[in-house]
Amino acid sequence: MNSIRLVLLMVARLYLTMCHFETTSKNSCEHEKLSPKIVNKDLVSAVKVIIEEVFSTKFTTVNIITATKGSEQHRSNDLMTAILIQNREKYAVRLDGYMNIVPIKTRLKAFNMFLLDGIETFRVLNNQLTPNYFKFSGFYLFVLINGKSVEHDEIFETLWKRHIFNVNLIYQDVDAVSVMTFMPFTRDTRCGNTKAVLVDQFVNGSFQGSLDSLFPSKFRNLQNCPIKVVTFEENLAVFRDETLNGTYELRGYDMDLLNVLSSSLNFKKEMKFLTIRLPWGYVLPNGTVTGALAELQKETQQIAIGDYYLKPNRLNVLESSVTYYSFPLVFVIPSAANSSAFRKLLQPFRRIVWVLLLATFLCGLLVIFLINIRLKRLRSFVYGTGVKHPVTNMLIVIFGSSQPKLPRRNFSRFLLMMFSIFCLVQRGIYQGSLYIFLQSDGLEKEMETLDEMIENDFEFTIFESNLDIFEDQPGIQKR
Amino acid sequence: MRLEYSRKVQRIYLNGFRLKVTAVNPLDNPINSDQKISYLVSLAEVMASNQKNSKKFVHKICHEPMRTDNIVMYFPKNFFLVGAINEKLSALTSSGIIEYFIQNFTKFNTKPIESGPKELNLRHLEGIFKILLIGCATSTLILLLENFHAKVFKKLKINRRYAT
Repeated sequence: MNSIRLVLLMVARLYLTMCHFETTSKNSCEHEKLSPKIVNKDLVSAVKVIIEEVFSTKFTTVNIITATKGSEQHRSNDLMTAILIQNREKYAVRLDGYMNIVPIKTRLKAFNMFLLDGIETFRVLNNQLTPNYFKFSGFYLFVLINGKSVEHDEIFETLWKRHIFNVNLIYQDVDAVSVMTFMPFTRDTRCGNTKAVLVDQFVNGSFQGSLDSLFPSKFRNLQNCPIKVVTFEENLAVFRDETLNGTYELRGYDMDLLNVLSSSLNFKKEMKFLTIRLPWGYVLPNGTVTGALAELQKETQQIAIGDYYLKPNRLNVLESSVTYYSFPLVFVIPSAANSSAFRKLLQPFRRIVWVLLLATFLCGLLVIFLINIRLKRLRSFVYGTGVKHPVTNMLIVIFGSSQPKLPRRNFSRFLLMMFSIFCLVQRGIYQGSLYIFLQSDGLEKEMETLDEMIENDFEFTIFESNLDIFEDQPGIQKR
Repeated sequence: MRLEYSRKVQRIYLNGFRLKVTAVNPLDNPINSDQKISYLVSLAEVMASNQKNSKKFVHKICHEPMRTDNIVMYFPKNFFLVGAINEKLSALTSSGIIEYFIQNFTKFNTKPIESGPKELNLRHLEGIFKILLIGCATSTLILLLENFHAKVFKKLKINRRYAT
């Protein structure tokens, strides 16, 4: 009784383990052959190592796609079951059939394992490998369930032409499990070579080499192979400089950068310099691409360089590099006007200060005028009886000279003292400030903000090459 | 095309701004101080223009930029070298080599701005000399008027004396 319960528990656990995986195929849980007749133990172990040690360290979901037909389907199912049983919840698995691949809504499939039975199936599968579903720069492991018989070179050549390059084939060889790939840039072969090369072998339960080199880097050294670069005259980024022998040399900071990339990745630049109108190119709303960008879209050129802005509409049809520099988009403004010679003398005080000063002196004049005309009896109280020219005396106080005759009354003395102090302070401030203004270049204030320019009803001019800056954000440009 | 500007939300609206599109590079000519126009261009273009025309004129820019744009290279979709180039670009950017390349082409031979007191020349004191000249002219005029007034007044006095 206990033994029957144990068997039932084991079957239930196996079933649950399989259903735990993220699956798109209903048949996966209903497969009647859950107890696998393992096709090849070493192949399963090797695949397990690649998934667990290479794939799942970089990503948590592995896409397994069965590309088999007819009787081979059972073999691939057995192989897949054997692989899945060994998964100890280290990674999630998405299962797909090669004829009905279901896309992931939020991302592209990056880590993919294909169970492949032959070249015919691969040709059908190839049509299903679309950039809408798969990340072409991702990792691709093809498990050849029928061993070496499949045409390796055709698979590699087909995938390389489609820009899928992190590709490994794994199969059971005579005495070991072999992992094959292609190296497009090696010393003794032509550029873009897709001949299969052995990466590693799985013998006695382990790979011979390092696991890090199972998917080797293929583009560290391009072995002086040509890369087509399209560019054009663009300010200081790329420009033609005439040499002594009458030819032109391309210079600029983008050319310097390209030279460094060329020498560090060891590729030969094949430059194409566009001299057409608007050579940088646009991605128009109807999807038409022009200029250098069109050359990339048609794949007649491979790199476009020349102070290119990162723009969302370009990313729909092209690939961009990381940002390597940033330039602000600025407003070029008129130079500040020169101040007139008289204006410099008035610059120390703002207009309101001048108005108040003038009002103070006018008040003084008005008081003197009223006293002289109507209130002669108050003269001795305000500026003294002996003062014959009070207006001149007021000017003397303003300019800081000494008074020829002082008043005798206390009130008039106090009034003179207060006015003298007021004028002394004002004069000191004016003189100190005037000295600074006289030394300056005497320029009017420049526009400092967009607000100021808009308030002053400025007209803004934009070069047509920059016009599509606004097209990406129709309506609102948030600053 | 007009670009409306709302101060409250600090946003610029494309429809409403007085925006003029030009096919020729606007930076080939200077903006006079009395013109109420502004060019919206990349700082790289301004630097290139200033370097090219430094003997004739230099463009000035507003302290407040419109926005910052990122510079990239473009490739065909799924181009195999993107990853390798990105790796190199990241290393070159973080080490400051790209900055160095750009500065090689954008630096100017400019005099450092002098600080401290300056010698005042006639241009600085032009205003006060003008006031002196105007004052002298006015006082000369007053002298002539006084002279004229005195002569006329004296004649009138003599005539009045003879009359009495």
